[in-house]
This record gives sequence, structure tokens and C-alpha cells, in this order.
Amino acid sequence: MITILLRQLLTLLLSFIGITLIFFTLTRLIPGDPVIVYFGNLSVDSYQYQQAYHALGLDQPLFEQYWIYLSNILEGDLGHSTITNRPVLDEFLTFFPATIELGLTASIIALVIGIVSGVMAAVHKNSWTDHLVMSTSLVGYSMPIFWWGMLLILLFSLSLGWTPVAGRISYIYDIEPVSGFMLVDSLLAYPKYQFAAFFSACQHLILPSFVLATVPMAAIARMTRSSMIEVLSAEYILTAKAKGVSERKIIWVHALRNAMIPLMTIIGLQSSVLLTGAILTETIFAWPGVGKWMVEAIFRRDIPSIQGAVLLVACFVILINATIDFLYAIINPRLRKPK
Amino acid sequence: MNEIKIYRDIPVPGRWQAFWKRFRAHKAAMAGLIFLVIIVLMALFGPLIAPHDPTQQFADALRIPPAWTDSGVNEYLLGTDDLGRDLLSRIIYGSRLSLGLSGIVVIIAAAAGILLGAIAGLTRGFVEFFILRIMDVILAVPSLLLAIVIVAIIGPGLPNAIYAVAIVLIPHFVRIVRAAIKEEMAKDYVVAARLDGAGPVRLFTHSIFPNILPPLIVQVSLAFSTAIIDIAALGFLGLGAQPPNPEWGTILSQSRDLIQLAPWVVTTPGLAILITVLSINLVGDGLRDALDPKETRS
Repeated sequence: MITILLRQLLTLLLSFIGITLIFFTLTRLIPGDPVIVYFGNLSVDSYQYQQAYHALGLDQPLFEQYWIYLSNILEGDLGHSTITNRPVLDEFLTFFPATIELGLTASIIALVIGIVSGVMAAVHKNSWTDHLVMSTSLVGYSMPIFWWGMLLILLFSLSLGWTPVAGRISYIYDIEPVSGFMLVDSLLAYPKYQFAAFFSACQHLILPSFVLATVPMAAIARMTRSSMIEVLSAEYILTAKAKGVSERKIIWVHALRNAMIPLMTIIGLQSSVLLTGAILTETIFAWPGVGKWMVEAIFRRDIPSIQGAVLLVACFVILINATIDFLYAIINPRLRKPK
Repeated sequence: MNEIKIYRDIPVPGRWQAFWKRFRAHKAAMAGLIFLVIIVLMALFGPLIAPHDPTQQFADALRIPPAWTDSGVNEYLLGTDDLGRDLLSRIIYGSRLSLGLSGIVVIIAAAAGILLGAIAGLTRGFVEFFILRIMDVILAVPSLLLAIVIVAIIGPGLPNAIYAVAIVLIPHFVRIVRAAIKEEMAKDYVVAARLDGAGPVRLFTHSIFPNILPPLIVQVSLAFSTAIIDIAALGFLGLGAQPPNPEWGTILSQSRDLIQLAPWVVTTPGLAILITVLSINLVGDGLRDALDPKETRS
């Protein structure tokens, strides 16, 4: 257990060093003077220039520069946004909860619907259900979600008027950002609005999270199906049947638990798909999260913000993947034994 | 008695013949292939088929709905956008961009990936470790995010978007090639070739490469559909092809404001992306089943 943890931490550390090295190289690869690039399109006087030149360590050897870059990151100093002049880390933290809220809801939708439909398809292999699940998931898997989002807005928001078009909550509610998670914050505002604010937040959340869930849902359904089919033909399933265990218990307890093991890695990979999708979904639904903020930062040439945000998101992804690898090693007894 | 023995000549299908036979049995994959061929033909002969110039603006034909609706005009089969440009022509020209660019992207990614994968697979120690670490890092950054960083650093535009998407696709090729090489290296025929005195380069090009083609072909189809979606996504975010380029994602991003006034401008380009990606994925599924007979049997 401890060896696994240590190995995981070591990989994590190596990945972190790798990511910072690549980002450092990229920042030095930008054509032009790093200081000018750092300030974006703002005009810089010579005093500021000298200060930034020294702060970035450009008067020192390359290795030293990387060291300065790395220690700045570890101290949480990712530079200041050239537009708002606030620290990038603070900016990131104000937008991040919105992305997490969207991503978490989407993963729950994707996992529940994906696993259930995958199991149904595997149990009734080659049936009508199976074909329906497989063809729907193939379409879902091929879906350009930016278009899918617009179609759903067209249908549910503009034609039927069931859901709002954009944003996290209706503007009539004045919600104090306590945790940054709108679902929590709107419940905290219970004395003021009762459940009305919470319902509004749910209504705003449902369409974007469904759009974001589409591709992972399809991938999970397909993987669950093939993994379940393999497990269901195993001998211990036959043994369980012979013992008289009910069909339902065999499927949902015996088989699914074992089918979940290969699924774990896929779910880990989906976290990166989710974050990519979040950029598009947030842009379509005007969801004030990290993705939308990054896209806007590009158009404002706010280089420190983009670099900081992408670095943080990348670290977040490797952290999730490492956690899932660790859980995978704990759950799967075959990996636990050292070679 | 002289007995006449008649043997029926049983033709043994060749490698590609057998593959084609298995592929043809896959109905969905065949449907995908037919669609894909139509789309490719559409892209190749675009200028001959397209009724209008994709950027020509007809001032007297703004926001005309598709021809099958009441107020539609036959001259503009899929309708026109807010600037009076014929949507059908734009989509046909867009297919040239989408397919052509993704083709370039996949070729770059596959070439780089196979090269790096071969190096990683045939060497041990530091070089292998270094390549794999870098690929892991690229895999850890979500694809569109990495593309955004690259585009953010070198500026928006089509060529930059192509590099970005290509870099994102490389790690998958490296992993597949390396894993396949490690697996094949232990086999007898490779040992035989090595005993014949084949060096690592010849070993790779003559012995191993032909045998790792199946997983590579499947990966190419996967990369192709990813490339189309990613290029369209970058175009949609305004980071890839710039207007008035009729790239599908760019058309979509421009039509966002028209979603209420002229919904057909939104639906058709997206449908084009979906159909293209779907048929590539169908063909990919069929390829995987046809190239790996073990899968089909189970």
C-alpha cells in the first residue's frame, strides 16, 4: 500500500516537473522579448521593464531562470493578469468552482446513464435494447458538442422555453458567493428566497451539464458493455448462477463490480475529455467558469492568465489521474502484489 | 479401375482479400464507408459541384430558408446566411478544408508518432524514458487546452491550429507503436531476422512495421475523427480558421447570433460535422473488427 502510494507520488512529481519544464520552454519560445510578451499589449516604461526583467530572472542563466519560475509556482505566484491586475491564482479560484460544479454534475450524469445503459446492453446482448444503446452511443461519441449545445438551446430554451439560455442563476437573485458552488450558495440563501433560487440554479445547470456529459456518457456506455460481456462469460458467474443467486444480484453485484476495474482507467481518461468539453460548453452557455475565462484571456492577449490557468488545469488533471491510478491499484488485487 | 478424382479448387483468400471480406460483412461499417466516399468525392470535386462561390454575397437573398420550406428558393438549396452567401456551397467548400486539414494533421501526427514510438520501442533507458515522460505530459493536458496554449502563444490562425491539433495526437501513436514493438520483439520471426544480421532500422521497417499495421490503421481512423472535431472546435472558438473561411466550425461560430432568426444556418454545418465524424467512426469500428479476427469471433 505504502509502496504504491510512494510510486504514485513519484510519478506525480515527475509529471509536474515535466509539465513545468514544457511550459517554461514554451514561454521562452514565444517570439519576441519575454518581458514585452509578459505585459501583453500594455505599454511598459523602462523602470517596469527593468523590474520585470529582473523578476523573471532573464539576467541569469537558463537553469537559474527555470528555478525562479518553479519556485514562483510553488509559492503560488503565477503572475498578475495584465487586464485586471489581480493575481492569476485568485482569478482562477473565483472561476474554478463553477467549472467543478458543471464537471461534477456532468460526470454523475455520464456515469449513471452510461453504466446503466451499458449493463442493459450487455445483459440483453444483440437485442433491440443493445442495438439502440450501441447506435445512440456511437452518435453521442461522434457529437461535436458545441453544435449539440446550440441545438439543445434551440429546442429546449428557444422553442419550448423550459430552460434558460445562459448563465448560472437568474439575475433576480442576489446570491452571496460563499463556497463558489451555486447549488450550495443558493441553498445558503434559503432565508431570503426559500427554494426558488436553488431551483433556478438547477434549471440553469441541467442543460450545460447534459451537453458536457454526452461524449463521456457514450464512451462509458460502450466500455461498460464490452467489459460486462467479458465478465458475464466468466466461470464464477456460472458458479453464482449454479448456487442460485438471483439474476439481478449477479448482474449488479457480482459482474458489475468486476467489470468496473477496467472501466476505472477509462473514467480517468474522461476527466481530461470533460475539461476540454467544459471550455466549449462554458462558451456556448456563457457559464462563468475557467474555460470561458481562458478563451476570453486569449482574445485579450492576457498571457500570464492563460499560462497560469492551463498550468493549474493540467496539474489538476494529473492529480485526478494519479488518484484514479492509486484507487485502481487498491481495488484491483492483481496489481497489489509487487512483481 | 481408374478412378477420377475431382478436387474443387478452393481459393485461399489473400491477406487483403480476407480483410475486405470481413469488412464487407460489417453492415454499419459499409454504410459509413459509402458516406465517407461521398464526402471525399464532394471535397475533391467541390468547385464543380458547388452552385455558387462560397464567399459571394447575394444582396437580394439574405437569410433565405432551405428550399423545402415555403419561402425557400431552389437556387439556394440549403438557404443563405445573413450576408446572402449560399450555405450549400459553403458547406461543400468547408468539406475541402475539414477533410484536407485533418488529413494533413493526421499525416504529421502519425509520422512523428511512429518515428518517436519506434525510437522508444527500440531503445532502452534514458531515451525511452524521456520520450515516454514527455508523451505522458502531453496526454495529461486536455487536448483542446494544449491547442489553446499553443494558439495563445503563437497567435490564432489556421496553420497554428493545425500544429496544435497534430501535437495533441502524437502521444497515442507513440504509445501504440512502442507497445506493439515491445510485443513483436519477443517473437521468433524477429529473432530470426536478427540472427540474419538485421540492424534495428531494417528490423523495424522490414519485419516489425508490416505486422503492427493493423493497430496503426485503427489509430489513424480514430485520430482522423478527433482531428476533424478539434479543428472545428478551434474554429468555433475563433482560434482556428478565420472568417470568411467556410470552415465548418467557423461557420457555426458566426451563426451563433442567428440561432433564432435563421436556425438552418446552425443546423446544417453541424450536421455535416456529425455525419463526417460518425462515418469515420463507423469505418474505424469496422476496420478494428476486420483487422483483428480474434475480436469478431468472440
